[in-house]
Amino acid sequence: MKNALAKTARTVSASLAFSLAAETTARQGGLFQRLDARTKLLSVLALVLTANLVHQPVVLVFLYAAILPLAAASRIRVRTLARFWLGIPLVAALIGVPALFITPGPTLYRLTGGLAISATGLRSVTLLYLRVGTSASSAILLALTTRWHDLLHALARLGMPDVLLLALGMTYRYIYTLLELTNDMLTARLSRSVGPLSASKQRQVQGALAGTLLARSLDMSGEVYLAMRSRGFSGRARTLQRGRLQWLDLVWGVGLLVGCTLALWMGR
Amino acid sequence: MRKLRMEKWMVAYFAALGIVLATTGLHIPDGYLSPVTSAILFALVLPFWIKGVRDLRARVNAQTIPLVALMAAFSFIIMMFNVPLPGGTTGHAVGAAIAGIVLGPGVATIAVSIALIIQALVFGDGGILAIGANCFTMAVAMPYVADAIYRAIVGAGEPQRVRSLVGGAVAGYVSLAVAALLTAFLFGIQPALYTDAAGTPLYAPYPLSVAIPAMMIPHLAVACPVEALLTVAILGYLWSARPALLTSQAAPAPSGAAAGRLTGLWIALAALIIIVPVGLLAPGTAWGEWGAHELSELGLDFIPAGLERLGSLWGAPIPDYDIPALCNVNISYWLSAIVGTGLTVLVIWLISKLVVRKSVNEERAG
Repeated sequence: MKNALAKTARTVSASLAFSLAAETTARQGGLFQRLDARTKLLSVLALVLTANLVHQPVVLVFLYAAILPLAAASRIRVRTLARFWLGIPLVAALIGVPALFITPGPTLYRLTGGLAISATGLRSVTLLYLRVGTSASSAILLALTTRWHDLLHALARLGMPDVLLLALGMTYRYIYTLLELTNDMLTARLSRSVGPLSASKQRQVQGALAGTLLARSLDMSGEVYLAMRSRGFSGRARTLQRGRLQWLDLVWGVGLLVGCTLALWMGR
Repeated sequence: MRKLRMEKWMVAYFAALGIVLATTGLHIPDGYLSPVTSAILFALVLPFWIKGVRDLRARVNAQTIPLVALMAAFSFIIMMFNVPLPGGTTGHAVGAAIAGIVLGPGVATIAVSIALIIQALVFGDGGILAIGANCFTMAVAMPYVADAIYRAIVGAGEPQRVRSLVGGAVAGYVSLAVAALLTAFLFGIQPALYTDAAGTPLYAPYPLSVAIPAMMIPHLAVACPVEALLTVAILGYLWSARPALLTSQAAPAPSGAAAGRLTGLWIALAALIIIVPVGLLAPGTAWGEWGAHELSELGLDFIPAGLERLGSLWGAPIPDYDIPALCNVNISYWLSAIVGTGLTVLVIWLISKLVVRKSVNEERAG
């Protein structure tokens, strides 16, 4: 029996490590880091939307390839990028393998055993791979180069209601508190285990951990509310308005708009 | 077009792949769904978000924000739990079933949605355009289905431990199965709705006949048992350590039953709107709904004078559910469904307001 508790601990630690790495990357002086968070958010939305509206694989190849220089200019680690630029689309391609054979269309290549790859099947799976790869790696450009409070600020300036912003901000902050709590509970339990635990025992422990987490979250929400009231919170959310669009934002925005329009026109 | 169906080798392939992918959750990345589908799902989730915020305000007033934040953080972390299954494999739970049972579906929708939005924007898990779709399947369908099943099994009155655990297991299993089925449905309608001139599927490539078994086999075998086990494990812990959390929630509110029935209706309505374009796959006109033109096409030489005269009396604003300006019959069909449903609901709401006001006035007068 694999140790599911250790696996959960690894997932929790990996998540903490990912966000720490993201904060570090976001502080570096790359291309995307210099852009205003609003510009980045809208740019990524435009890129993802374009990648999902283009119908020509050749145009999608250009978009997919364009992510690489952008990521390099934004100092994103190769290993992190590879997970989103290669890993996620590869899963899409694996899911699409049977579509190569069953999609009706002219036969491209005949395999042994009566299976034949159809041209439409190959085109369809290629489109899926490129769309998923371009979208996932565009999204990660935003995630890895933007600090959370800048992203919240951008969402505020783009018109997201204050209450939702406050909820998002607090959630993000308490994710780390609960991640640490989970990590501590898992470490404490694992350090008291001698030999492998049975599957049913592991499920019992997972249930106790998750249940404690739920009860602690509910309790903590009451405490946080009292703390907020003690600091004078009146129910109204306020965000710090700061940041100005620079020339770089304008140049980048115009360039991206031209690029996306061109891609949409050529990729109809 | 040739009918596509699952062959034996495909069943084995998808089962093996699905079991491997059961560790990655149900998050839909961008690229599998057309932007139009994604936009429609955003629109469908919106009323549930509004209802969730209202539920929160009604229950906890000013404590709303910290409660939502902590519950969203809890939902985020619960998705990382690896649950061991008999047979040696492990899988990720979504955790939306337990959230729906303990918090109530309205609050759970908001909490799970916030967790999904942070996952997409900060961790790159799940697509940005697909946020609406992911929220619809995991933050709306799952908590509502889980809550309805749990309450049906637990029954009215003071809940009992065994019934609650059985209810949690069934709710966890079925709610994830419903979420997987909805996801499979969204994937499966893509090739019917979005292909290029050569017939190439532009998004998810499999029709319903393949997408549904491909998604359902691994989910029913791995992911659903994981959700059921985690839900039972958390309920079991809460029964022994914090039973008040379950008993206070399980006691139905005075208007709870009616609200539950209405919630079910809203879910059914939303599901029906999603599957509206399936009607496009059927050729011909619905039986008995022929116009004068279609009657003559059917070979009827004689068109009743009344039909011919009255048929052109009223020109529908959206004839045949087609809005030519949109240049896409599927979007037109969906928009027509949303406009039609919205108008129907609006008219019924106005009538009910008038009736309620009238009866209140009569009571006051009496």
